[in-house]
Amino acid sequence: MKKILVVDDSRAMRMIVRRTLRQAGFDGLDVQEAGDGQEALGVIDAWAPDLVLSDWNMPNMSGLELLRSLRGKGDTRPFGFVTSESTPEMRKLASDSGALFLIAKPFDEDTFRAALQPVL
Amino acid sequence: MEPSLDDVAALTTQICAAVLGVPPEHLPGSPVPARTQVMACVQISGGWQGAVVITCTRSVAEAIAASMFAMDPGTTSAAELDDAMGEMANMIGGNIKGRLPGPSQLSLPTVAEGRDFSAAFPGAHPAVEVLFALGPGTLGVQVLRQDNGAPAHSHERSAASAGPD
Repeated sequence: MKKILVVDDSRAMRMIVRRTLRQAGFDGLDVQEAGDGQEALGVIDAWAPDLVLSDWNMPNMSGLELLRSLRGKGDTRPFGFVTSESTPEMRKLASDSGALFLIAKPFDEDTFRAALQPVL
Repeated sequence: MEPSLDDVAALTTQICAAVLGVPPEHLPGSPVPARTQVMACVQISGGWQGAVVITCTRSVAEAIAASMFAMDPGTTSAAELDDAMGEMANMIGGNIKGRLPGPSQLSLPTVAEGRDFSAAFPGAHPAVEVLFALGPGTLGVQVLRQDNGAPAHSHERSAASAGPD
């Protein structure tokens, strides 16, 4: 069973991401949540998810800081952003920092399927 | 360059339709503060300075929170309502930020609820204001541009223009 960590400071958005994963046909996933990048680091160390889906703008530690922290210590696990900001500059920054994809909010199940299928 | 009224209306409609499953109806006129209202805002700083403010009645905020949390209207907690409204402001503000000159930063959302309150944005004035019919009431979206030296914009209720609720 694939393990996915959903990182977002909004509990409503974490629920919407969970729903969209199901609607996209990704059944049987083991999903855990974290409220910011700092909390996510602890969950990743303890739980070792196969994929991290992270918001960008969060308190304490942003999604980009989380990604850079992981890559900085040699952690190459698949990482994607789910964020309300999706300028070309941010997409390039995400890609250059090691993210596989950036899904812009709002999204639908087709967007999730296209982005996550190669990973899952 | 700033987003047009049509841009803001289209973005908000797309977000509401995707997140709530119901597209709002764009109404003529500007947002009118209600007696009891919920306000959520994000600020943008950098290449463009200002804020994006969404306002609605408590009943609309409850409907938004219920839809996002997949619960029955009126059963969401105060924390869930704040969370949902903050995320709506984040999504609408983040998408509008993408249409503005950058680079710039988007703040974390702030949410306020109350009766007869005002919120001041010193040095800011409305660049775009859009009003929607959504569920049991209305949803307002304001894009406030901050110019040094401009008179402060105050989002407040006035007896002459007060809406229902």
